[in-house]
Amino acid sequence: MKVDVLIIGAGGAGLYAALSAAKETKGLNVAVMSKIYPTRSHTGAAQGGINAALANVDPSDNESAHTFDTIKGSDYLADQKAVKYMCYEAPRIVREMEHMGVPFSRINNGKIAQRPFGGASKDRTCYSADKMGHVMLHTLYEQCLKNEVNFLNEWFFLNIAHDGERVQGVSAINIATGETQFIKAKSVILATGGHSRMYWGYTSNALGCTGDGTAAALRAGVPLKDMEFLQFHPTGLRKSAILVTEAARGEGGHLKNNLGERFMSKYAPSKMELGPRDLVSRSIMQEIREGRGFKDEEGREFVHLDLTHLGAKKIKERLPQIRELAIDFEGIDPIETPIPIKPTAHYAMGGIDTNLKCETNIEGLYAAGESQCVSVHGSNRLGGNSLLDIVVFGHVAGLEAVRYAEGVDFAKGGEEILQKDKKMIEELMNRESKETLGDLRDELGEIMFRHFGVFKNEKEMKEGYAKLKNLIERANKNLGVEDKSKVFNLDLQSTLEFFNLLELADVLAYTSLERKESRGSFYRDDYETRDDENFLYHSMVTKNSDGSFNYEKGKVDISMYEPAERVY
Amino acid sequence: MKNIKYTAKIKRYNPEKKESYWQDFEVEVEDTLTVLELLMYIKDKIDSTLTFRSFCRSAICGSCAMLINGRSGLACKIQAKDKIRNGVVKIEPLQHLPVIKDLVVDIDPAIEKLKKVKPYLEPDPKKVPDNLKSESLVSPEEFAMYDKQTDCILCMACYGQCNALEGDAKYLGPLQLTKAFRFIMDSRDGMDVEERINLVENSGIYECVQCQMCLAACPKDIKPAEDILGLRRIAKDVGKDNSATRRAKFWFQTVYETGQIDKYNLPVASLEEDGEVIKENMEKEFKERGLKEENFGPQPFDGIQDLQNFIKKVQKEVK
Amino acid sequence: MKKIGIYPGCCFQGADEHNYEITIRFLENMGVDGILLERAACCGGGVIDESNKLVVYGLNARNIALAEKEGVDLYTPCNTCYMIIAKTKLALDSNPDLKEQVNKILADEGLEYKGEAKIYHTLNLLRDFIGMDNYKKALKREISGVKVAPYYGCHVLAPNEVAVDDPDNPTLLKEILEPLGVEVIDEYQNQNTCCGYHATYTDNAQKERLAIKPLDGAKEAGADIVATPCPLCHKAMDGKEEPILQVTQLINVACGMTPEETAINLNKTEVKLSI
Repeated sequence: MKVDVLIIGAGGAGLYAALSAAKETKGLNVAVMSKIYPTRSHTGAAQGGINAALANVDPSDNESAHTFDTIKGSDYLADQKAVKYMCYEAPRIVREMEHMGVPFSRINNGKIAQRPFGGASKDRTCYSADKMGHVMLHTLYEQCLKNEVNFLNEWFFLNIAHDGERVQGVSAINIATGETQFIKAKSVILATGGHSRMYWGYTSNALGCTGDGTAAALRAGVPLKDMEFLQFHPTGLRKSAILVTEAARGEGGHLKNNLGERFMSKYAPSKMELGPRDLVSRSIMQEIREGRGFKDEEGREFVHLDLTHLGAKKIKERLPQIRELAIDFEGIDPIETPIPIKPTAHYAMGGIDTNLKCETNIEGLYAAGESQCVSVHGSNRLGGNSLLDIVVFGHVAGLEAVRYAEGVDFAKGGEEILQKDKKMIEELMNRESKETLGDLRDELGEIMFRHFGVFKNEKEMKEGYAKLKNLIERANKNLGVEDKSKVFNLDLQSTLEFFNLLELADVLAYTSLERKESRGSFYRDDYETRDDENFLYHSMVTKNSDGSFNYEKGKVDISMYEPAERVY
Repeated sequence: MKNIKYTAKIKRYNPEKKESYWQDFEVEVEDTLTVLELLMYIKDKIDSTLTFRSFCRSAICGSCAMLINGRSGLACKIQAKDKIRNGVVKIEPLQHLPVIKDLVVDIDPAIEKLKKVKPYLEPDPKKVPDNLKSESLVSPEEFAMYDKQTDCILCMACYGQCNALEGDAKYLGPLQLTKAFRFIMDSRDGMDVEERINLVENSGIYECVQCQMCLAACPKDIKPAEDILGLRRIAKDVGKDNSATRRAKFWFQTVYETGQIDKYNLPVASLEEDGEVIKENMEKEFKERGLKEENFGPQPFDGIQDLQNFIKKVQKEVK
Repeated sequence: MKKIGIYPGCCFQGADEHNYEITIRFLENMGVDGILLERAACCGGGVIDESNKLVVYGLNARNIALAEKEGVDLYTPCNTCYMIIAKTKLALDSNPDLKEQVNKILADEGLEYKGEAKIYHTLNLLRDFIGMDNYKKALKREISGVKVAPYYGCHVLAPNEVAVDDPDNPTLLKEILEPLGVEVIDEYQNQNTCCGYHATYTDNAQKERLAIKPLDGAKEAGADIVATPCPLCHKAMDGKEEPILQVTQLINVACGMTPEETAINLNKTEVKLSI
């Protein structure tokens, strides 16, 4: 199979890239490959909104304030020109989506409604009740149908083929048939999403957020950037870790400990519940550590997110999904009862290293969205900036990939990666499983949450890393695929996803140990403060053939704002 | 929380052997499991070949729609313990779509039908700016006209429960028609309403039997059958004159005149010539039974004017 | 004697006049005094919606108000009337603004929608209003040697908020049939498929394709007759090979009436009952 521009992943970044590519190109074949149906993508789970300084609600807002808030929120690890680009593009791209049909909530004058959000100095977050990601994803899909974008639905992406300079194509399994195939492409965009699933039972992410593209990039020799930065969202549901949007706090929800205190007054006296996510997550864990949390019969510890004072009308109008989630998955109605919540692994700031044009170190290979690290989020992403990031850089990647593909022929070769992939799959299929995927996955989640969680330190991380290495070794030896069939073998797919998670967990553990400071989402209680002198750099990791890592320090662009202390 | 024992009775399909069969899994699990968690438990602990789609776990991605005790729903949103009947929870793939393996169905046929309704905004240049300096202005009231319909997650639960599809596999389907309604109601849409209606007239809005099963199936509480009535409402004014539009007009008129639908004259009013035979047969039957001619159709009750005033006022005053 | 308001839908009209007879005799047999709500109007049949949805709310608010004025609950044997009226009740009870607007107009006729009257259909009437014990006591003889397949029809089981029984696994109809002495065929192919009645005048072929399915399923499972509570399902499905009757007709026979007295002789497909 041959495709001029191949996009891997059909979330917001992938679909925007596809749309922009399809509109830009004069006759090139654009296709989107996804391991699921496009509208299943995890973009749809984003609830709260998308940031853009439209100044519809607060006339004093502007792009520059958005830029500064984002840089400050990133704890000065974001590349400032990249942030500026994103924030200045924001109003344009939000309007473009509005023109495509995204059903935004409105204020009385008919303009797009905006709400306050964590870490933002103004009411900047555009929303559609609490289903922003869902309506964006579906609108983009509708537009792709309109623009006759080709879809390879339910294809599981395996590896990138390149000749050391240029991309040649990718290998993938057609899930419906079980065939492993090579797809030749002039340009490839990785828009495969995040990898928070390595925190298995402790993450808000969908089951498939397994960093398939990021792991493939690592295997292909593309540097991964800032992998130690993974954000814990303060409000995951107690049992399932499913997310309760920040909008719940944006609309006035209170966080309370077992004494009934709004404890955020101690940690962020001015922003209170709307402090940045890293701070709020740590504050919750601190309350729990000091015995002011709640504990259920199964030993799960949590605090309360109290919406009861907002009243039935506001909850039903502004937070209908949250109410539904609380009823379905916790069995409580937030109109009457506070929601039990705990921090949940939520978003990977780190990922595939690209420049502002979404280019990687391989010609014709691009990355966009959560799998990419430009970096616009630095060490901590602000709420409402992820939906923005994926469309702004999805758009850039789509255009750049077309421009590149229009100037070149297909690179020769690449098919040979199929043999390696087929052999790897055959080995897994033939291997007698001595341990089960379910058990190993749970173990990975436990290791990551206990040793690389909201609070970290040298001792616990070293212990955790040893456990992780042991787990990787056992998985390589003991884990096989029990379902031996070809058609729709999701057992095989889950196993491959698990190996991707292991590869990335290895990088995350490694880079976490290297960074001896606290910054943004990355918090160590043995190095409690930020150390700009020694650690104001992007960690850049490539993998050697023997499995060891090269670690380099990438320059951070601080050309606009001097790093300052982050106070809320 | 406690452990409970029951049987998960799952309909399986092996595509390589083209073989369909039921399999019982005896489980003893926490009573708080969703059906999806139950399936994951079975896959992890008992039989890793059991195949089903799942992704977000939180009822927003739409992957895990299936038949649970014969009714469509999202496995992730339904508590398994609520579905135990005589110690058994019965799980099958969605209906009306080809089964690929076990609980996985091919949704492409439904997506192809979705494409037929042009499920996207055609911006109205009078409403949608042609530059990116501003957004279209949409009042909260205009937005409310299609807000609920945009909740659709394309899970196909309604499609799998649809009786009109049971009668005609070519029928467009509930979610497809809700999508069509959503764009007609969007004040930013510039496609002629007539054109949008034309897209849903064939194998579409008139084949719906109003059984309400799509309302019961939708995990997002969308009401496709009511949206279909909405489409018929619009079609009555802009669509082709047909038996359904004539029925709607006649029905309203006779209820206004007598309080009841005149079922004696309805066949001719609605089906025109084809209705004559029905009417003749009715006449024959009535005469055989010795029914008086004035009782063939409804007679207005005493004080019908009260009803007429009421209807007029409702039309004018109720918002 | 307990009283109930009988809501006259189109199923009491013209060719279906006998349905009123069946209904009133059924209530008599159950020891209930049925009061015909003469000034009631069509529920809308799902068709008035195609002109004006608010009129549907209005008409049914008025229908309920007529029962309330008599101080009785409202009973309709028709699945569709039941569903539409029950849905209206939910809409009015959850929307005080709508209720107020409608009441303002109802006042012209000296009516008021209070939201007090309950809405009954044959199935929940037997269970909740008459009581299953009283029901069983009212039966005088057994209808033996006949295999009956229960067919609910859609509108007593969907949408969920108006369902008269557990929509996943309804048992009420079976519980009503068993005391009649018949053998109940509980599971058969397409037992939940719609009869298609509401497509009769928009796409009759669609109705025909649907109506036959549950009948064939019941026949295949060995049923002699299908029993439905709904006069519209009955109308849509009568005339095929497998006979169909209304549950109230069977109940009336079990209460001592002859088949002719409860219009079984009017069935297009002949039914023989051994009593």
